[in-house]
Amino acid sequence: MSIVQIENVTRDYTQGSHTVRALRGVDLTIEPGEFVAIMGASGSGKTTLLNLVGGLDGPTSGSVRIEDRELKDMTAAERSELRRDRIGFVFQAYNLVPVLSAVENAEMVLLLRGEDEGARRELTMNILASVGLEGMENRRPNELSGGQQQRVAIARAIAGDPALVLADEPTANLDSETGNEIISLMAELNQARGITFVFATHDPKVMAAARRVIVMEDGQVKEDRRK
Amino acid sequence: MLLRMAFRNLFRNKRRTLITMTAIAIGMALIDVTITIQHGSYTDLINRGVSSIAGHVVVRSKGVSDDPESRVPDSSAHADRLAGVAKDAKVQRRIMLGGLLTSTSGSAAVQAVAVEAAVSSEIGSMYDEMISGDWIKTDRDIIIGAGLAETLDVTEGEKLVFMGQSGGEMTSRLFRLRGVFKTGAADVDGFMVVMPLAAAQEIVGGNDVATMVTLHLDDAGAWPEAVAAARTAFEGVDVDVLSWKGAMPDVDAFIKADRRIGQGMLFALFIIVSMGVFNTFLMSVLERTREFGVLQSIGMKPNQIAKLVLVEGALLGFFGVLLGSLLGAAFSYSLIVNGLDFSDSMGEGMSTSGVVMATHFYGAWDIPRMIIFAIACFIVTFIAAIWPAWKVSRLEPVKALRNQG
Repeated sequence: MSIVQIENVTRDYTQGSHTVRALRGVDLTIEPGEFVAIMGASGSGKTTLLNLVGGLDGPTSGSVRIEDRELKDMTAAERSELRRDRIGFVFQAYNLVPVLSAVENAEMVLLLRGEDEGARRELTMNILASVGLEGMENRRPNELSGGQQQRVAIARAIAGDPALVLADEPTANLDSETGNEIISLMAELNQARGITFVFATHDPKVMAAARRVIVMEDGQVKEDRRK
Repeated sequence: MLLRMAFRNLFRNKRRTLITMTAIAIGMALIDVTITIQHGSYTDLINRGVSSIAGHVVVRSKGVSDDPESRVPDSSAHADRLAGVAKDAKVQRRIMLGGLLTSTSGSAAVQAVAVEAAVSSEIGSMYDEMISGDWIKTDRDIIIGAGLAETLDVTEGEKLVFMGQSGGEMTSRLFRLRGVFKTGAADVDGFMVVMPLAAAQEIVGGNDVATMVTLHLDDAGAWPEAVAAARTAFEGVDVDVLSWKGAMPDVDAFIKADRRIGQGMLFALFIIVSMGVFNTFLMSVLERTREFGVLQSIGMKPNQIAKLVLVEGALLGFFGVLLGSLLGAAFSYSLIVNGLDFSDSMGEGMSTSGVVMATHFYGAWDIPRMIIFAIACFIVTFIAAIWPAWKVSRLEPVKALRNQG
């Protein structure tokens, strides 16, 4: 079973009296365990595609299936549950909850699942240690560097043991060295845990690390190559 | 975690939270102070009315409202019967009598209240307002208001003649001025006199008659039970048994109207407070739109996000109301102990239906109403958070994430 199946997906946005077609008939299948980079210029439709795969947005037409479940047939609450249980997100701007500490941010998904506090805290501490944040568990986001915040975001994305992690420009706000560390970390997690990673990125370092590169142009898949 | 997040969210913008909480607290404190002043003034008005022109329970002849001169015979028997209604209560017989009071210097129309001197001094009324002389001791003594004393140009010890009407005939009786009272209300001080019951019975020509027989309770709040017991005790007797409300309908109507006005003001205060809270919540929610998008992206359901905002509203309301209640209780305590002196602004004072209103108000605890209004204030604050919570639960994740707020 494919983890992502996209068939003939279009997505239109209305801006004033104009309709902008962000995606124009995209077909795509992603298998479990893949490490995929979606490349393309700004406005090519990368982020739109990622949002559709994560159920954060719906297609104008076509079908988006995650593990064989059609997203447009699900309610908002069911899509939330799907994200909570099967999908992790990593954003360019980290998007941590500022009032929560690193460990509280990272354990959020487990908390939403109603996991027992003791087990939840132990698991999250281990994950934070595995992403190199041992000793920083109780710091708030504003007490962490950009790279450290992105590590917390990755810990949050994988804490719930998802099948799929969607990362939108995860290295764009980081310096080159920190960006490399983050890419290596995600590649390790992909290998060690078998989590599928899909990146929307401009970063050539991510492209170099990816085992499959999808190039988008004007809302269409221009190129899809496996290494 | 929801509670912890809500708590921390409130303290993200400490200044805004403190301003909102202070607004709730001041609103709540004002409500408590208003309740305390209202309850104090009503209690005082009722007490004054009960002690001067009525009682907690009033027994009078049927149809007295049609004929003010109508009186009950056998008032002693009624007094004995009424005394059995409540332990340690005091029973008073009164005659209300209009007439003309004449001194060597002039005459004035007066309203006489004839009382049993010993009981009357115990239950208060004009006894508490004496400014010179003594209270009634003999059947020849009369007490008059300061304004009347001035009009008639009399001092203690001088003779006064009261001329009253009974059964269509005029009767005169000689009195000696024993003392002078001053309530501050010109219409009472210039019009009212107090005389012994026996003297009034002599004037109206009835040995045992009274306009009313009244029961005065130590615990004023027990009047409904006392009225019920009195009605049972007087079953089959040809008299009316009334509560203080029935005996002083104007005072009761005044309190009801004043309370309604007060409640209108409190309602306006509620609206102002809730608009403030609503504004705060809306701002707080709108500036966190992106964060709510993030929470949705990691799997928080729309109803969980709404709950988070509602918990924030509940916390803000709870602590605002708690702080306000403490402040209100402190101000109320001061009003109960020290009171508020309006004698300068109220000047001569006022009366309603012959009951003098105090110019120095003392508050009184009305704990049940304070609790009801505290709960209402909390609910209003909570309601103000409902729309922002609903709005946030309807956010589309992708639009929320694009928000730069």
